[in-house]
Amino acid sequence: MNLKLKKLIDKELKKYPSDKKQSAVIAALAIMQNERGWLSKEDISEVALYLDMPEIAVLEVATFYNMFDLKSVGKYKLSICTNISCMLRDADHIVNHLKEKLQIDFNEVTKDGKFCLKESECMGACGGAPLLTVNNQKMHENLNIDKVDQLLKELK
Amino acid sequence: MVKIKINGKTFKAPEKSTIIQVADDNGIEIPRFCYHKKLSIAANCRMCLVEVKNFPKPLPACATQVNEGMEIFTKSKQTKDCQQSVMEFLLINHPLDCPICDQGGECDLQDTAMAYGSPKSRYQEEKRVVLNKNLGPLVSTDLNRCIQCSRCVRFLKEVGGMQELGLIGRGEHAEISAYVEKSVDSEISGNIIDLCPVGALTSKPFRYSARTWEMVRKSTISPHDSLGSHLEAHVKDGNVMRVLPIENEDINECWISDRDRFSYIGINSEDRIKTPLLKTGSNFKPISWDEAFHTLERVFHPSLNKFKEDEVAIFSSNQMTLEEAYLLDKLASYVGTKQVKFDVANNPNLIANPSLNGMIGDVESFENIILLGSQLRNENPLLLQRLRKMGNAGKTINIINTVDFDLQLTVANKIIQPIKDFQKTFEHIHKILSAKVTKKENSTEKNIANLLSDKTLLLVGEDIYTNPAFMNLANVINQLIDLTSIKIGCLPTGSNTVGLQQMFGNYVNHIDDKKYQASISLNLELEDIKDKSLFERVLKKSKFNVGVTPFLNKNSKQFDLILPSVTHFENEGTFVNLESRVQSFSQTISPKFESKPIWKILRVLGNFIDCPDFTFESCSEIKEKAVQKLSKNKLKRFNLINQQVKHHSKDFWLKDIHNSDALVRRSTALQNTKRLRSEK
Ligand code: SF4
Ligand code: FES
Ligand code: FES
Repeated sequence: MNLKLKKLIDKELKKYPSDKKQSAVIAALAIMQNERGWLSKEDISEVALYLDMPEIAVLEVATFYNMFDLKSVGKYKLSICTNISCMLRDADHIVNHLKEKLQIDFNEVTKDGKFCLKESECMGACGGAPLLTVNNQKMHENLNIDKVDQLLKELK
Repeated sequence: MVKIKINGKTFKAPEKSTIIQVADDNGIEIPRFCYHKKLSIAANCRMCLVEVKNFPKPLPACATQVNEGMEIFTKSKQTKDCQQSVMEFLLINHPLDCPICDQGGECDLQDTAMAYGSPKSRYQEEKRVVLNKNLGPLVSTDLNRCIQCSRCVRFLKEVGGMQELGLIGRGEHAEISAYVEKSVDSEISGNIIDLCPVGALTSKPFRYSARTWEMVRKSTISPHDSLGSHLEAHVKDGNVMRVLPIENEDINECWISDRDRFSYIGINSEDRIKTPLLKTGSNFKPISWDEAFHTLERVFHPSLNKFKEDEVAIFSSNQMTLEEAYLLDKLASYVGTKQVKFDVANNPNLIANPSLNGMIGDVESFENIILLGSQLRNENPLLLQRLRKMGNAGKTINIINTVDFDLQLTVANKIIQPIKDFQKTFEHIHKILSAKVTKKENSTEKNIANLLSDKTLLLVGEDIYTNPAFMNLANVINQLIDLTSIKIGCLPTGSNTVGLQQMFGNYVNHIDDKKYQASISLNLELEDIKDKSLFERVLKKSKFNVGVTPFLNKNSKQFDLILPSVTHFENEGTFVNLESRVQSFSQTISPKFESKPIWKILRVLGNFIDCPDFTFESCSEIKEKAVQKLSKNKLKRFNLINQQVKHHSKDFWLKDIHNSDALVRRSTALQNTKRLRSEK
């Protein structure tokens, strides 16, 4: 872990009591992922060591949240919600379309390294179901096939 | 106290207790998977949902505290519907492979499904598949069966002290895992087998070998540490198939250590000696017991071979039962020797009556613990677990030791230094308290000094109170006791160390480094002895060496006569645990081959050499006599026994938990575990 990362994590650590370092685990993982693109086992071990946590406990957090990637996710990571509201609004249809169009399954990356498809849990925005996010940031709501095609075209 | 109603009946319950606790205390059944009385509350299985009046939704009984006037229904329609639905959800991904599952017949999921589930499943879709993990040689996984109750995770984190398992992933993809190809190495890890309510975690050595209803349950007492845990051996066709804990809140609670659980594997080791063996030239030839006793008669009968004083050396393990010790004592004085050694560490007795000096459970009632030089994790993992609990509850655990062991608990103050400096440290603490130090200081000693009161317990490990350096240290500690009224206790390690001490009192517990006419070693191997070279020297010089042991081992060649004794599970007898509790146990299986319990061997030997008053018919008859010889007294201060300390080795003797006695050493499963590396 380089000094820059340490400094960033230390800043987060200041927000919590010194014996509750693990409170900063999400922040620390996010900082790590920002720097390295995705989280390798080594990255996770480093965070664990730095926050004085068992490695498995950090892995639990890293695997719970969709925003953390334990493998390379290509240029654009499309996380599509398949939870109850989105399911009822036929998210499956969108999913199948994406899979077909990109020729990949969930958790796979297209050959050109551009797209990755992720299944995600409810994002708390059921009003706009069905929906997806691009790279954990930009949300696209009320999806239909046309909108998805349009989106794929825009993502260069 | 609050008053609540369950199913229309009124109960009084302590404030802040949960619905499930009140129900359990009053014999009302509420099904559960994730709740366990010794673990934190997770409330993630939802099996315990109950209807509560005036609440629109059912509440989890394990996580809901009772309130004055609360009305709970455990059998109402709403409750039953909930139970059925939860059960249906839990079974969606469960493989229902009971016919090939080791848990079958003792499975919470099976029982609960029968009692609370619906007889039919509506689920048609595919089931989830989870790959099994290799968690090491003790615990086998079938993770398809896991219902994600997280008991195993919480146990290792809270009781084991180190979170070695986790629930990774989320929702349908959640699965139990250790970190990337790691195994579970806790010395009490086997308890997750008992905790797992389904067959997801089962015993690897026991796998597919018997069904629960085919086995007879025989209780015994653990021979591996001084706690005296209550064990239950499950026996089929004259073999111990597995060992489980018997719940005993005062001693082992509902846990046992891995060596308690898996040592039985050593019983059928290839090293077992089948018949008595007599050395002829450089080989051993099998002989009958009758011939063996005649040989002994020729050596030990006073009319044939009159020994001068102390010409016989006797080495024994600290697992010797009271009965065996009683007979041995009689025989020893009959042949005229005081050279008997029970303490395998070959350390002298320095103080009278080292014992915990109170009950195990009482340890938890103190506010502060000072652990003075102990290898607790190697010596007594379940006592350590209690300290861990105290640490988690915000009490202070302080450590003064020669080696920095990783005890996996929250330590408030720690001093690591050579044993010779202990005295200085305690003198310094004494000075601070008696206000002889005027300048303000900020030191660990000061922190510890501030904690000393009658709510503080000083626990002294065996390595320390048997070390000659303790002679002076004890005086300083005694002064501290007078000054602050702290309480003291010792941590003897063998399953019957306390019993042997109480029986023999100030018995000179050592062997001289000289030439003996004969020696007898009982249930002892070279690895058990701290001063190995002394042992070997004595045997080399002595004319006739008798070895009484279940197993052949490296030093067997030194014996002239080897008598096959039994292992703990084939033996009966009595131990006194570290809190001076007298606990008897009986045989769980009959002796293997021609081996005999040591008490029987000694009893017959006594007759062969015409030892007077040696007509005992049973073990219990001997016990009656033996317990009369026990002298207990409570320690307020350390009473030094005036004695010249002749032998001591200065080196620290690291005890490996899975190398602690002959049986443990022969348990292949335990030997395949990652050896405990608790030294930092
Ligand atoms: S493995 Fe067993 S104890 Fe652990 S979470 Fe699964 S069901 Fe519960
Ligand atoms: S179910 Fe998709 S956002 Fe809530
Ligand atoms: S036992 Fe209450 S939720 Fe699991």
